[in-house]
Amino acid sequence: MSISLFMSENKDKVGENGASGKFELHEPQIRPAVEYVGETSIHLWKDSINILAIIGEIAEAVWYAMKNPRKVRWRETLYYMDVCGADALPISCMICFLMGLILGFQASLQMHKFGTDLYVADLVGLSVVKELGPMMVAMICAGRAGSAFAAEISTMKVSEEIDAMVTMGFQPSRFLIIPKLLALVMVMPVLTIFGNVVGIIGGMTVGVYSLGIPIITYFNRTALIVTPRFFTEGLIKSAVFAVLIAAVGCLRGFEAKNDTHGVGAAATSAVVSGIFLVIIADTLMTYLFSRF
Amino acid sequence: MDENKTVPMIQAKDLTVGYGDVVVLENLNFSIERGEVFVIIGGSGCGKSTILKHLIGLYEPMKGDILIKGESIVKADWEEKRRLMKSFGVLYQAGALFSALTIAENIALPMEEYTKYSEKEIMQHVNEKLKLVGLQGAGPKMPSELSGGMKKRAALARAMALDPEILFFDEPSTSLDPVTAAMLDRLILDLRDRLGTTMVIVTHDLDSIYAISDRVIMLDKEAKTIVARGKPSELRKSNPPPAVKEFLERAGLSRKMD
Amino acid sequence: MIEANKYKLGLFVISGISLLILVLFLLGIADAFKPTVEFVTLFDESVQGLEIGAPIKFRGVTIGKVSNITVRPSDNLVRVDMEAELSAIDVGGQEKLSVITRKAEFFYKMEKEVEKGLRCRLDLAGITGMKYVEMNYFDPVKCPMPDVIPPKGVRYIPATPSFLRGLSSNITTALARVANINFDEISTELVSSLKSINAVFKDPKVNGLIQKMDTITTQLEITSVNINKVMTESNLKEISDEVKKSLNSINELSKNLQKQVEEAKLAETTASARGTLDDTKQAVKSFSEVSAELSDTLKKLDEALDSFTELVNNIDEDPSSVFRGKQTKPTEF
Repeated sequence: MSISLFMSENKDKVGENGASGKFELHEPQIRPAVEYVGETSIHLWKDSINILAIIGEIAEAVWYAMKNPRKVRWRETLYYMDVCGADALPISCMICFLMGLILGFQASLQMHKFGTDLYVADLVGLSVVKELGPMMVAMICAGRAGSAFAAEISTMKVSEEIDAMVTMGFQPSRFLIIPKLLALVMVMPVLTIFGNVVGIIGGMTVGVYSLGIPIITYFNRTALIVTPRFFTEGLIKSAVFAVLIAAVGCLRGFEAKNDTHGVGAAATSAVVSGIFLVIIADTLMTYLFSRF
Repeated sequence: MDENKTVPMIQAKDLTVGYGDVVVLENLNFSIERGEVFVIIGGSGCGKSTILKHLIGLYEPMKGDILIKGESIVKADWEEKRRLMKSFGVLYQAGALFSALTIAENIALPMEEYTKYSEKEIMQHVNEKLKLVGLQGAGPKMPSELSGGMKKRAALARAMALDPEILFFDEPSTSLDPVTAAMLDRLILDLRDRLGTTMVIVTHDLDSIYAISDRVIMLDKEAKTIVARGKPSELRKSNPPPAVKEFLERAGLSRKMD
Repeated sequence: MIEANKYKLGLFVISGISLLILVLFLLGIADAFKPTVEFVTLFDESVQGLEIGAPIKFRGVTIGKVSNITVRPSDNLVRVDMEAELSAIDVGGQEKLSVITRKAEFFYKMEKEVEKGLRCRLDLAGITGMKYVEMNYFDPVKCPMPDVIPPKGVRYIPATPSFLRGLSSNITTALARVANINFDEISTELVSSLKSINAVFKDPKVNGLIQKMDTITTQLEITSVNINKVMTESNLKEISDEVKKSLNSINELSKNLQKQVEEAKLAETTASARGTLDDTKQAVKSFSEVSAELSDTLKKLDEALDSFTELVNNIDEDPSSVFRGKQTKPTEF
């Protein structure tokens, strides 16, 4: 199943190459524009199908991994956890801190006008924990891990390592995706915990130094407003983002063209679609969480 | 075993391959016997690598069937495919060693997956295979530390890890110097003689064709099918179509210059 | 070689997880396991701005939160279910007792407090229109138990109209009543009554009668002084004679008086005076009706002013409460 998915995708790409030669956009004609829209829609449709297919395949692979935990490549998983988690900690913390700081500063300018300084704690605490913490960490991981996954897999594809893997009887999904996915799902929520705490500290810095709110007041206000539920929601979001980033990174790697240019394109596409999917998923989850 | 003798090792029936809607090769019929060195030749872009990937079950043909030891690899599900794949090894163009693993780990991987050998036994087998391809002591190295020829030999060692009945070679002599290429050719013949392995080789290296092949088929881009088949020496002597003649003669010219 | 730096990774994961535990602890995950008591109240007004999760405050101390808001279709009252933390209410240092005992104790005390005037009331949490439920003591006379059927199966704390609702409704009724008073009629009747009274007092006969009554009283006084003199011990003997004499002279006096009274035609005068008094009575009666109405109105006005004073006091104590409310409820984004 997996082989046919990836390989038929490869064939499609070649076919598209042949077809796309027809377009010459410098002539201002309606027909090419319409055709372009049509072509793009077909591409988008195929893309959605592929994403669904890979999610299905990942689900199957995860199910297999749960049934046979010993078959999971734990060494690779640990490696990716180290690379995508521990190594991303400094940059994640830094960005989240600055995010909290910026947010706190902007909020303080507005809130101060109304004499509602303490509400900076609400704004920073809730936005960081519910949205910005998971989101910023997801952006960083899409940039670091998603692109790396895509580049790695597409390089393996160019050097026929994937083919070799298949003919050796390994399912690429189990062999390549599962360790990356597991690793990212495990470390991104952890990064988010750090990001959230550091983001709140960023807001607190503004609150304490710029608005003169006593540190304990700010802390109490945050603890009052930010409930464990919100915190958990953020972490769930983060785990879902991790699945999306890892999945789309691997997908882009698998569908890359068989040349060196394809590797770069796959990495770029992984980041762009990763961020896009993260935002879509965030919208959906924010809505869902507000319902229940 | 008797049954296996009568059934050809690989059989292609009305095979049509292509990408998307583009047909590359149409209605191919050929069979490969046990212990044969079967060479697929043809100019660039004629689809010889494509046909190899179909034979090893990576791509699904547009039409027709491929039988490995009488079993269809096209219609097989994943588990059956996996069982069939166990019986052959593939040497890819650039070796396709897993760059994340050492040479020894690369060779050990299929054994870990398919056999019940202990770690010690696996190490023993790995060293044996490395010795076979002349790479003793290269086990702990990473693929990136090896030269192109060494990579290819290491890849061959990995392809042979499970002592397969069929070995597929995708342009084995590309990017190798003539000495190494000749050594690889000798190795192929040696393996065939010692283990009786069936060899399927895709190449356009004429030296190899003349040196090792039992039988060749030539594919053509324009005709989209097999334009010649038979022993290469006989093929040259008989009156081949111009395209085949050109292919086989050009090398002949250069050889005459030596 | 793909190999994780396990030391670094371990450090990362362990610190991450301990941070999570710390954060959840600080955010009060323990609250989820604290025993709570449930009770309800029924509001006869719009609860616009009150949401599930809004705080319940007892004299400003947050003791719990709103757990559910429903409408009771039978009488269109809004039923608000509340949940209070048992630990927020000290029921006499009985922390060691079982939760059930403490709950029972709490409800027992609560019933007593309701008799003393404990009521629920909606209050604004700020300019955003968010509301919370305030529990406080109100004068049981001014805020009697509302005439509603308490819900079954749960503890019920009566509600009292919210401060703003009370303020606005009081002002409205007061103004309506003031507008209803017929000031014209009252003033004309008052004027005519006063005129009649004046006329009575200006009548010369009545005047003369009053003067004569004055003289009689003076004479009576003199007489009694004389009697006092007579009643001394030394004159005891002469008393009987004197008494006789005196009685005679009293007789004479009374005869004189009778004569004088007859002369003054007192009967006629009293008849006319009676008419005047009837008029007055009627005026006074209608006046007292009006004044009852007036006093009712004034009472309402007084209540309105009370509420208003409370508002002013609140604002005085905590001016920013106009913006933030007395206490704030968690603002949800």
